[in-house]
Amino acid sequence: MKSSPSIILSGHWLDRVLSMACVGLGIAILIASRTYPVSAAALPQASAWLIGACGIGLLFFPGKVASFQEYSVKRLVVATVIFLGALALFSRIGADVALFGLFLSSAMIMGYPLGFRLLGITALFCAFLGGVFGALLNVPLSGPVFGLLFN
Amino acid sequence: MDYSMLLASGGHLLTLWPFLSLLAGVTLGLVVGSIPGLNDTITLAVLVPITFAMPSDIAFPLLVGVYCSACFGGSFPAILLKIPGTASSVLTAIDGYAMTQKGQAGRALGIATYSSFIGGIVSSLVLIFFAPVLSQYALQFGPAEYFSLCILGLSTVVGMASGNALKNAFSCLAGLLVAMVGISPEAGFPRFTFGSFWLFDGFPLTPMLIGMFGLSVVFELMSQQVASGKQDFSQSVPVRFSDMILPVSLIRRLLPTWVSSCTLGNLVGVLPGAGMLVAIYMSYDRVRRRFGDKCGQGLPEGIAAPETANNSVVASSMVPLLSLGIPGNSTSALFLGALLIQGLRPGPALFADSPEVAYLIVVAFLLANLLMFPIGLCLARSAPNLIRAIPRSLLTAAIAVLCFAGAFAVGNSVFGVIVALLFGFVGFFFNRLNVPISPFILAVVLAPVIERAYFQSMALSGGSMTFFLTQPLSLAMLIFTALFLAWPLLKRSLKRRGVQRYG
Repeated sequence: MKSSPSIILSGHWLDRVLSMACVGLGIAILIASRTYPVSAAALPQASAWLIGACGIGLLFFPGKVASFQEYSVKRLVVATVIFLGALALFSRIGADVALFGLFLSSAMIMGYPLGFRLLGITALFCAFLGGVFGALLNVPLSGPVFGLLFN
Repeated sequence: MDYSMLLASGGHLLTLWPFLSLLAGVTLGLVVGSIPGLNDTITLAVLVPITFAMPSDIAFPLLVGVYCSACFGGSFPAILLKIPGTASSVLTAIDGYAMTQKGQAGRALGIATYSSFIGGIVSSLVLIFFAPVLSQYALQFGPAEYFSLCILGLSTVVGMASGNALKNAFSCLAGLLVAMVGISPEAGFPRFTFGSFWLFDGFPLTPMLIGMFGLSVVFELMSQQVASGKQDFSQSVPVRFSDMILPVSLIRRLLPTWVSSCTLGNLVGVLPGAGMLVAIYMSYDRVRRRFGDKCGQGLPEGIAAPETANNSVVASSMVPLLSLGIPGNSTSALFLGALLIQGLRPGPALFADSPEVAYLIVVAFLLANLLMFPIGLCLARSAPNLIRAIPRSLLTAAIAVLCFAGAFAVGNSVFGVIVALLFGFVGFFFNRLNVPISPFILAVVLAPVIERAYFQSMALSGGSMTFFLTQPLSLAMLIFTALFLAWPLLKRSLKRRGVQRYG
């Protein structure tokens, strides 16, 4: 089977990006907090100067090199899409559908074969979770199925 | 110290439900610790939202049980398979696996069990006797002392923690900035809210912890190359129960190592921010200097030192949280989250206002360590089977679902899930860029205390910064702060001198 393509991101350039991000963040905070009253701006501005200095320091002393070698960007993107999808389902339909979809897709991306076994495990786990939160802990999770069963 | 309350809490812990909760926590901790990729922080991040609907006498024994036993559980796969279950058992794997290869797996597991037990018990006693006394003393702390103490805690994570000090500082400062989102405590002015009313109260702590510790790991597991996830667990290691019971001669031999590692572990644990890894590396380094080349070839002291040190840190790291309200490490920050959602405020007032909870927690640490010994001996042999039995795919999916449900349940809103997801990303990139998460969490927790104490001190002194230097205790803490911050530079120059002297 052909393995999924991956982009190797390791190397010093990511550490340079981190140091530049620190400097950028420091500047952004200084700009955002310039209209704040003195007492509200004191700590953010002090932190902004320090984080900027830290960024400059990291440019010269980056330490241990960042490593993305064992990670696939494609898989990271898929994981992100799954999580964002679950979040959308959470807010639009409910926790039951979102958690079911999240468990199923997470197990599949990790290599568990799709079949009745996985569907059964997913349904049982989600029902167990809905039961624990809704019936046992009195913190009901949202959703049409959970509402019917536990609330 | 209130001895009657201590005894009453001990008695209450031995009643059915609190005891079962503690037992479940210890067993769960050993199991999750022995599964590579899982650890106490992930488990606690997932458990904290579940416990908020539980009574505190059931919630805290469960959390304490997990915290106490997880780092010991990590030694099982480290010894048997050379795969550290948790970061705290990285050094145990060196001599532990060497002993396994010599056919002494049972003996190695026995040393780990005895060492963890001794470290845990001593550390629990430190917590029991030190936390209430320190909290009484801390009631006299003014804002200047609190300000300096928080700065000392942050300087410890920057200067003393392992890794790049600049990255530690970055993590710390990023945490401070994240904590500043929301209404400012002094002016009541909304900061970095960008008009969103969700952000007026700032980022909620528990979903943030779930994201940083739970979802970041899920991201790691899901984005790993499939091939790298496959490990060979097929080898069978014979472990006899009788080998795990140590002879008196070996106990006598290991006693000095236990004493020195216990001392180091407790000192590091009590210090806010220093962390478990510092303790185990320092303890192991002592053994390496003493035994030289024998170290790494199956030396019993090589297992005893890190295992005693890591368990010594566990309970003693709760001393600053329970007595001063300042978490000692990221796991005790999760405990802080648990205390807050139970409606309790950790700090010097905890022992005065809610003594039943405070003493229950400290006694639970002692009892959890007592339970850990027999359960550990029984579970140690089955660790490789456990790792084989649980498919990583289902485990990852279960953690993801638990994180989502927990983040939602804390505030009963989708905003919690959004926060968890956002900080899951942040945690993943922190891990990949070798930026430690603990300073970030510590800074998030300490930022409001620092800001409040600073402005109270300014109000008391009429705006004079020298106020922090005129209070003796505050001055002492600021001197230590300067020393800790200078430590990376000192270490560098000492190393250079050593290289020049010895070539």
